[in-house]
Amino acid sequence: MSDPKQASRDLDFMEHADGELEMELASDGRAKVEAVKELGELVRGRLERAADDVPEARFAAMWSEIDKSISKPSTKSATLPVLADRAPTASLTGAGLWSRVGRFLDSYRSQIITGAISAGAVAALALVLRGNGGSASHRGGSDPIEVQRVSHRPAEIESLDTPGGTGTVFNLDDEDGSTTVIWVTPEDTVEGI
Amino acid sequence: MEAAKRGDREAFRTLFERYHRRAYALALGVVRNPDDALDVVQDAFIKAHKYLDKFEGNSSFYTWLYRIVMNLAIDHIRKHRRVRPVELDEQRLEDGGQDGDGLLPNLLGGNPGRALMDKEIRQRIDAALGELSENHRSVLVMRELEGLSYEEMAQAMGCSKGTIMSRLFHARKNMQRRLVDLVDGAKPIPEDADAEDAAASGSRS
Repeated sequence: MSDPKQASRDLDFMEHADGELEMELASDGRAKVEAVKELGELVRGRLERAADDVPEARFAAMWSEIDKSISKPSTKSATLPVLADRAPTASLTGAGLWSRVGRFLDSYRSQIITGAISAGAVAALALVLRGNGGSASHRGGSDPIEVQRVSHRPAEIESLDTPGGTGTVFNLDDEDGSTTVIWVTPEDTVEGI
Repeated sequence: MEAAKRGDREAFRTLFERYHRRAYALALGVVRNPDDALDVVQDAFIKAHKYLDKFEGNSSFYTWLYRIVMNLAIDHIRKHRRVRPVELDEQRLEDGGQDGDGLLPNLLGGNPGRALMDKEIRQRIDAALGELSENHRSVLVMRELEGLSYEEMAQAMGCSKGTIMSRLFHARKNMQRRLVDLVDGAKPIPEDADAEDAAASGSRS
């Protein structure tokens, strides 16, 4: 068993590191406070770097989805009060678009691709189209008056020009409608199809 | 902000451009899966837009947004919780029991920026974060990424300040334990501590 006083002191050190408690520090305390701060920098740095590593194209596609969703006629419900500046509660339901596309590609890779496709190829996911009327990007499950219009008709691709690469079109049908994924793989990234 | 509230889509897009990566980092820290994090961020912005007229500006837009992101991220991991065996020591942590020793006095030589250049270290941090319980990880991410006070985190998570302190303490301690072998000459950490009891009592809350 460790010393309860030491454990309590460690809590004090943590509070001090977080700016919640003023205290004088001896050398052991300073070392632990520095370690807490260093761990914080590692976690923060890791997550910020992961965010920086996401290709801008993915966020551009995300904005496209958001823009489509917010451009629809308002479905705000007068029966759903939201306190001022209080964040609306969560209503993320089911698997979202990106996770469904990701899982589909995982499945595709495991079944068809025997070799490895580089991260560059996956990053080349160029465009995601929702089927006509599909609205899976906005799943306001908690809103009682919101009506989801569902269509299972995929987008019709008449021609696809992908110079310097291979284009593949997938239609993903699910309960939210259909999603058409155009996956462009640069030629120099295909290693083992 | 005012233009966005009046329905100016370009103004809302400016808000999106300003905060989407920060929101993504927060979501990723909680849900861990990159695709799920993208879904959370997308839904968060749609929801923020939907309720923009309710936002009175008592806090910054991002403060409001991060609460939406956190709500959605926590809701997501609750709905998609994978069935996995709960580690004994994790269960003890959640129950307020004992686990390894207190905080460690050193880690990775005091140069986090350089450490993060190392791919293995990044992977180890990812793995260590992934092994934390959802509650511990959420509190740690809120604190380290957003710098929230204990009181703000308690409000966000709907629990006491003492519980936040307890979760944060053990999240950090577990992260240190899982990364300690990256430090040259580090010694194994003995298994016991009483800090949880002191933290959970919330004596300073």
